[in-house]
Amino acid sequence: MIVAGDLLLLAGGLGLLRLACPGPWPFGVAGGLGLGFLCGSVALALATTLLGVAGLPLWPVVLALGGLAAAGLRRGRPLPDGGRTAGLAGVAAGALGAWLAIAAASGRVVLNDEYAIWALRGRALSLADGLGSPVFTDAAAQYQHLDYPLLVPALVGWADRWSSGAPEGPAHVQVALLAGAMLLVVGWAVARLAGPLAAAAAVLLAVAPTRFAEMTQRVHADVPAAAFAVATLLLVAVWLRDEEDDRLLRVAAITAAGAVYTKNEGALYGLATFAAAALVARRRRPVALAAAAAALAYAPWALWTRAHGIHSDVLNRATLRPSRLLDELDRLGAIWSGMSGAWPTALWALVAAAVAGALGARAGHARLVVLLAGTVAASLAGLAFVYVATPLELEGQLRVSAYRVQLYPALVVLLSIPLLAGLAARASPESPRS
Amino acid sequence: MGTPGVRRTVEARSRRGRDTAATVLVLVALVGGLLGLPRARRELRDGRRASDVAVVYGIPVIGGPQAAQTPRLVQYVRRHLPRDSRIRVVNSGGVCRRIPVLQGQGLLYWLQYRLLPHTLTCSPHARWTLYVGVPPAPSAPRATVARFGRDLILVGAP
Repeated sequence: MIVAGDLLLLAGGLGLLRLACPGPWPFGVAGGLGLGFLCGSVALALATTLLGVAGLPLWPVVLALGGLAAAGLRRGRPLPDGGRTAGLAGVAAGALGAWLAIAAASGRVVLNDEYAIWALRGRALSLADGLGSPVFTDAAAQYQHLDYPLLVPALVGWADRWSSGAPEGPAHVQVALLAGAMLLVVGWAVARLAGPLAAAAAVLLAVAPTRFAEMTQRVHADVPAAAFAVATLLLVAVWLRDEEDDRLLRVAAITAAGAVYTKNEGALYGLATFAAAALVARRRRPVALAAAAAALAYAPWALWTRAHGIHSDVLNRATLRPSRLLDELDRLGAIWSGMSGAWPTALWALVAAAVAGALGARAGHARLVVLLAGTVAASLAGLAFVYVATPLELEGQLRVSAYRVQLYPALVVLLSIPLLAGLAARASPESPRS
Repeated sequence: MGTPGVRRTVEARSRRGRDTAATVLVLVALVGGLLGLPRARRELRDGRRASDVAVVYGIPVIGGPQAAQTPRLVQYVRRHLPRDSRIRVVNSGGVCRRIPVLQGQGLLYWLQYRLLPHTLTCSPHARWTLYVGVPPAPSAPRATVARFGRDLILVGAP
């Protein structure tokens, strides 16, 4: 059943992709499969949220996915064209994704954030057929992070339903599949921009961040948030090349909505990406529209949490008082130490990315360099701000979360190396493209 | 300053140098990515070890030897309590103080996950009360009392 459920999710995602992206299919096989799964997950999360917020049973989610699949098919079968260049990188991405998913199939819910937050919310969603369980509202009983949106819980909850009573392995597989989808998108996008060799390097490097493979085996939202954010960034990067195909930004709006629906960091990553894009784009309006669409998708969940008096434990009126924030600025040294300690290869990666950036900029791709560097800088600055604001004990927070929340900036730095170097190796100085 | 021919030659050399450096960097990235795969394999293996816990009544047990009592509690609740029952928790911190009890921080969260669709609550109106690591309050004569070792006692009001 779980295989059928995931195929339905993929078909719905491909349908949504097709609706957002009529005309010639730009994603090839690898990009199509990766973006299809990501978009399907977003559709699942949004439909589950809308029905849950409205107090309705969740079964129409299946109809929504089926409807999207049918609507996409009516628009014409997606045919691979220019995206076929993913080639070896696409195969490598598929193989790595399958490896991660197979390993995750034996996973059990044994880690704190799994049973205290993500798997708990997912299973409650499934068993209560909506948001009726106190797990979603009972702050007095100290259920954690009631403000967290429903993408990962929806994936867990539907895996729970589709796997008929053996939910733990399938729930883990959903997270690993999102990682695999990200790898496929990396293969497609980098191949399209910088060629197949750079794409193969990018796919391999995407598995390289410290503890990435480990994180794909957990029912946590860090890998999903990074997967959606990386897809968003790469879609923006491909669009930025000539700023002609706005369909890519429509799809980026969907993947950004996915990032926003994972956890607060996902919203930060999306914001950082679109802000950096707005900095370098010649046409800012489509970028702003994509960002607004992603933010709008969050509205139902934001309204529901507000209506139930649910606020973020970390970012709220009390923690964001300017006087308090000023007082807490002396934490910056500890934050720097904790964040850099959690990313042991940062120096080498940053040096290599800086060299690739210099080569890319000289080859006429300065805007892309600024997009990537700006995204990393804004993401890290945002994370540091969250650590300044947190009312929780800082040292412990840094120890358990710094390596996880820095996954996205770490991935962007690593992917920048083959992407920019590959572009520089390919570039003709007579025709700078971005 | 030089002639156009010389300038073109210099530009071509510069471009070749950049292309070479960029190609080398792509190859370095490729090799770096390949070298990262064994570490990813180790991480997956370690992850499997983390999941390799004792399973009692089909329920993975975490939190050390004392927590081995919990699967019996979970089984009991699943069998005997009406669906969606609310269970009030009392532990050494009082009602709804989720301080670490037994072994392993967050054990009550783990228990909550396993007990779904039943939920732990602070409500004094809950029919069921779970005493964790503390002796139960005197209960009514016809109350249901189920003991799962020293640390977990479930009391149901008549």
